[in-house]
Amino acid sequence: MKDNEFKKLDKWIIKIEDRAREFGLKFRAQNFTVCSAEKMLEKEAQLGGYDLYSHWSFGKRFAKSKTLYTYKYHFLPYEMVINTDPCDACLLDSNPLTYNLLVAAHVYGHNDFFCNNLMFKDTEPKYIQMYLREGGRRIEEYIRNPRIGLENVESLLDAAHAVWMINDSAGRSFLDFVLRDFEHLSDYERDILKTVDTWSRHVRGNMKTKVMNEGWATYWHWKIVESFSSEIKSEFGPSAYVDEMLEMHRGVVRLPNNLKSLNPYRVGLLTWEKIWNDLMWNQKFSPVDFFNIRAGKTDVEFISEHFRGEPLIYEKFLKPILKANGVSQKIDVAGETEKYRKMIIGSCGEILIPRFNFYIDKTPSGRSLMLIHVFDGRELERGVILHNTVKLIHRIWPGEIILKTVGSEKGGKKNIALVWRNGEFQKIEMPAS
Amino acid sequence: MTLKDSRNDKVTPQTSWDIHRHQSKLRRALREQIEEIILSQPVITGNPDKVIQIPVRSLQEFTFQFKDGGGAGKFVEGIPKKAGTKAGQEMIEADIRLQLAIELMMEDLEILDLFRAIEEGERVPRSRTRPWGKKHYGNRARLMKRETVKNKLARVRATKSQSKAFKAEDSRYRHFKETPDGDYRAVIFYIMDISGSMDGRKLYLCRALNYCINQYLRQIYSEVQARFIVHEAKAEEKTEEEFFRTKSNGGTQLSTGTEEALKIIDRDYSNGDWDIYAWHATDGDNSSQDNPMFAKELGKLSEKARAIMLCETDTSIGSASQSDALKELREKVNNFFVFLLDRKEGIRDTLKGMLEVLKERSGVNER
Repeated sequence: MKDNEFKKLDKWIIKIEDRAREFGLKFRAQNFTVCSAEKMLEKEAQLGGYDLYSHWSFGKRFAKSKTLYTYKYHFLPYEMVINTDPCDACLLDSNPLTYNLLVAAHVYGHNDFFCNNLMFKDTEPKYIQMYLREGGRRIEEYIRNPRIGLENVESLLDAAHAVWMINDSAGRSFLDFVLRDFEHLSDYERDILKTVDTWSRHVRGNMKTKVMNEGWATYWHWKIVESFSSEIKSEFGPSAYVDEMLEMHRGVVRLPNNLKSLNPYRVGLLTWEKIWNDLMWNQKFSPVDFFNIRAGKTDVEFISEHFRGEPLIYEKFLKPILKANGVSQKIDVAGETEKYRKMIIGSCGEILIPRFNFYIDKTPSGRSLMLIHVFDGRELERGVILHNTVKLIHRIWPGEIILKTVGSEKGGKKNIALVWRNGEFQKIEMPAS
Repeated sequence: MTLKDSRNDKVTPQTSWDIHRHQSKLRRALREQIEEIILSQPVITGNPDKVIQIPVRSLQEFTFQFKDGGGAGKFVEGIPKKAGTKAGQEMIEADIRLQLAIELMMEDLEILDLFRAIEEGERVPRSRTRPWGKKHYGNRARLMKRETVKNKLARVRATKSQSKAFKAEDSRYRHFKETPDGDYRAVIFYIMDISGSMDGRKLYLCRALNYCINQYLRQIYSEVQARFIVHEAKAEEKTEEEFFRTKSNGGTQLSTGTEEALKIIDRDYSNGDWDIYAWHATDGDNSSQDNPMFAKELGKLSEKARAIMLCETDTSIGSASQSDALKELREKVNNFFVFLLDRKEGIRDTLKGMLEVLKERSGVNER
C-alpha cells in the first residue's frame, strides 16, 4: 500500500464509521493497524492477536503456516479483530485498497457484535490485554526462576491447553474447578492456570457465536459498501466495485464443494437475510427486533430457530453442491434438508467439545480425580489421543485419575472406566446400563 | 477511530523464541525416533539435501475429541481443504533434510566429532598433472626452444624464404593435463548377515558404520561405488533401500556372501581399474561346517581386495572369527581384519579401527 492510499484509507474509514452508526450499529472506539503478511500470520498463530504468554505451540503454528503460505497453500486472513476496548483490528498491507474498505466495514460489524451479544457480557475488554501482558510477564519470570524453570512451566501450560475448553454439563469450566478444588497446587501453578483460565473465558464467546458473528459482520459490510456504491464507482472506477469488491464478497460467502465442509460466512449471512425478510412481512415491523436477535443468542439457538426451510437450505446449499458433485438422481428433499440442518447444528464450536462432569472422590487408593463423560451418542476418540490427554492432566493432578465413558467394544456398547494409576492405564468394562 | 501504520514491523522476539523452542522440541523428538528414521532412508546412495517427511507424535496438542469428529462437518475459511480428513488423525509431519537425520544419528551414537573430522578432512588427490603433448600456442614459460628453432629452420629451408625471423607458427609449447591415477576409483561391498538375531539396534549401528566408511572412502577416491549383498544360507544383491529391510529366519552360511561378492567382481570389476573393499557384518553365528569354506572364499577375495573387514556384533565363544580356519587365515594374509561390536559404546573404537585400516590399506600415507 502506497502512502497516498494510506491517507485515502484513513478518509474512507471515517465515512464507513459514520454510515455504520447511521445504520444503527452500536460499537466501541475502533483501532486499525495496517500490517504485513508475516505479522498477520503471527497474529493468527497466537490465536487472534491477544498479548498472550509465550508457548512453543504458537511457534509451531507460525512455522507451519508460514511454510504453507510460502508455497501458496495457506490462505491469509483478510483481517484479525479481537474483543478489546478500544477494539483492535488488523488490515493487510498487501491487499488492494478496495478490499481493505470492505474489510473495515466488516470489522465494524464484529465490533458491534462484541459490544452487544450476551456471550460477551462477562468479558472485560478494557483490561484483558493488560491482564494477559502482566500474566505473560510473570510466566517469563517463573521460567527464569531457577527453582521453577522452563520445563515445569511448559508442561503446566501443555496441561492447561489440553483442558482449557472442557466444561461440565452446568457450564462450569474445568480450569475453574482446578483452581478452586486442587489444594496441592503451588502459588506459581495457580497463577499460570489463572492466566490461561482468564484468557479461555474471554474467548469462549467467540467459539459459541462464530456463525452468528461472521454472518452479522458479512451482512453489514455488504450493506455499508452497497450504500457507497456510486461514490466508490466514481472514485475507484466501476470495475473496482464489480471486479474487486463484489468479487471478494462473493468469495467470502462461497459455497464449499462438498457437504462436509461448511462456510460460516455463508450460513450466517443467508440466515440473517432470511430473518430480515421474514421480519419485513410482519405488520409491526421495526429494526429493533432484528438487533435484538443479535443480542441474545448463541450459535446453536440461532441456527436451530432460524436456519430452516427448504427455500434456504435446499436451494442455497444442497442443490448447488449436489449439482457440482454430479448427483443427478432424485433425492428425498425434506429428509436431506433436515439431515443437513442437524449436521450444521452439530458442527458448531461448543458442541464439538466433549462435556465432562468432574469431582474428587475418595477411593481405596486415596483421593481420585473423576472425569465422567456426558454421553450423548457420540463416542470419545480413544487410544493414543485419550491416553496422552490424561497423561497431560496428570501434571496438575498427581494422584489417580478415573475417566468414565461409553464406547463400542466387542459385544456392543459398554460402559468403560479408564484408570490411570502410577504411570499405567487400566481398562475396566461394564455392560451398559 | 485511529489508523496505525505498522507495515514494516517484523515478528516479535517472543514469536522468534516460540519458533526456536518448537524447533528444539522437534529436534529432541527426532532424536528419540532416529533409529527408525535412519533404517528407513537410503543414506549412502541418497541425496543429503533431499527433504524427508517424518511423523512426530509428541508435538501434537492433545485434547479430548470425538471419534471421527462426532460426525460433524467442518467450518473452514478460505480455500476449502480436502474433504474427509479425520479430526483424530492429525499428526505433525516434520520436514527435515537427510543430512540433519545423519547428524542426529552421529550425535546419538556420540561420534559426531569423528564424523565431522571425516567430513572436513583433507581430500587426498587421486590425480596428478602429467605432460599432455605439445601445441603451437600456450604459456611463454613452457616454450620448447629447441623444437621451435628446428621448426623455423625446416620452414625456411622448405619455402626458401629470405627472412630469418621467427613466425608464430614455428613455436611449440609443452602442455599438461590433470589425469587421474590408475586407482582413482573404488568399490565397496557391504555384505550383511540377515539371520534372525540381527535386530534393529544392531542394524542401526551397522548403518552408522557403513555411512562413515563410505564418507571416508569418498574423501580419498574420486569415485566410490557401493554394492549391497544380503545373505543367510543363500546370498542376493539388493538395493540400499532393501538392504536394511530384508529379514529372514534361515540358517547362516557366511561363505555365500563372499562368494556372491567374488561373482560380482568377476563380472563388473575384473579389469583392474578398481580398488576393492569388502565389509561384512554378522552376528558370528555360522554353521560349523561352513567355517573352512568361508576361510577359503575369504582367501580368494583377499587376493583381489585391498581390505576385508569382518564386523561381529555378538562376541560369544563359538563365533566365526574364533574358529581355527579364520585364525589361520588372519596369520596368512595381511588384509583381513576382524572387529567386534557388541554395544553402542564400542562403536567409537570400532570406527576408529576401521578408519585406520582404510587409511593404511588405501595407500594414503604413501602420497
